[in-house]
Amino acid sequence: MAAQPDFLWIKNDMSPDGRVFRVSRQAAQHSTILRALIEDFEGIDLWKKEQCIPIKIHVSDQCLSDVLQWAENTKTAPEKGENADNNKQVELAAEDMHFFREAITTSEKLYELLMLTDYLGIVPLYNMACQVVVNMIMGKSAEQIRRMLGISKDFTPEQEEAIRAETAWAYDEEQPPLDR
Amino acid sequence: MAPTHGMVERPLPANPARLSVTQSTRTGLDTAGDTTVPSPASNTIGGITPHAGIDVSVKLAGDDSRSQPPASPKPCPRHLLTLPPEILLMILQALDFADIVRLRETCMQLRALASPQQVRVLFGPDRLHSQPL
Repeated sequence: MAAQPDFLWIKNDMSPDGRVFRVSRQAAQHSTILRALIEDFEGIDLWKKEQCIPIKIHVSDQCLSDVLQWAENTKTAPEKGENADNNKQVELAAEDMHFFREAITTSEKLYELLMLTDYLGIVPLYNMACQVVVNMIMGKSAEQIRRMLGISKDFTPEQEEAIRAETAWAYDEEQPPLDR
Repeated sequence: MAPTHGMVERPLPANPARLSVTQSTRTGLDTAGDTTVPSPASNTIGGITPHAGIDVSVKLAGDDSRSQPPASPKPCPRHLLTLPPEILLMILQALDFADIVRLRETCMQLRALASPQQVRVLFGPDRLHSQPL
């Protein structure tokens, strides 16, 4: 049996032990850069384990394996050439909801997921991760956002006063809402 | 790095003054070249010469200053605000104006990021007009 031609090898290059992960050809289609790589190097020995593709960002092995697992599990073919749909609200399917609940439990993991999906160009997962952050922020007051993101107010009192004055309209309850 | 360690340390069994000299040269070499020297090795050397107490503290101070530079390039705090701006802007893009207004009131960084100019560029004319408040 010759070398299995249907697996890519990906190495977590920035991690100290540098684990190597196996990605099926089908799962690699989810990533725009891996897809482009496969198309460009179709005839060349891309499928050997020695030819592993390095991930040059700081992510944990756990995150990388979660994302690759997601790619393996998600069978729906990624739509090609569909761009400019950024305005569309991303709907999370049930299995993706499950993924986020299981794998992405802390904001550190969410951070890594965003970095990695951006890096690999896994657009659906990237959009979903963005949507998760959006859902975290949506409908919260400034103080709630601050508490959730763990940030401190670094305005000077004068600045804060200016901001208050600038966005006073947002808190003016006398004003009737604009009807559109 | 480890073999040179042994070579430098072994000929000085109990001379604190000379030991401190070699320590300083060692740290100087380390900062110039290799940065991945395991600090436990130097600690065990300290254990071999227990009477050279001062030297150990000097050595530890040197280790601290050496371990800091490699730590800084690694993005240790995986805070959402330390994400690169393009990702933050992607998130911004999916928010409503009302949320952006509140986001701008949280801290200086987000206020600078979600400037009116930025929002205008990001959303484009079509969305600016269709955006419900």
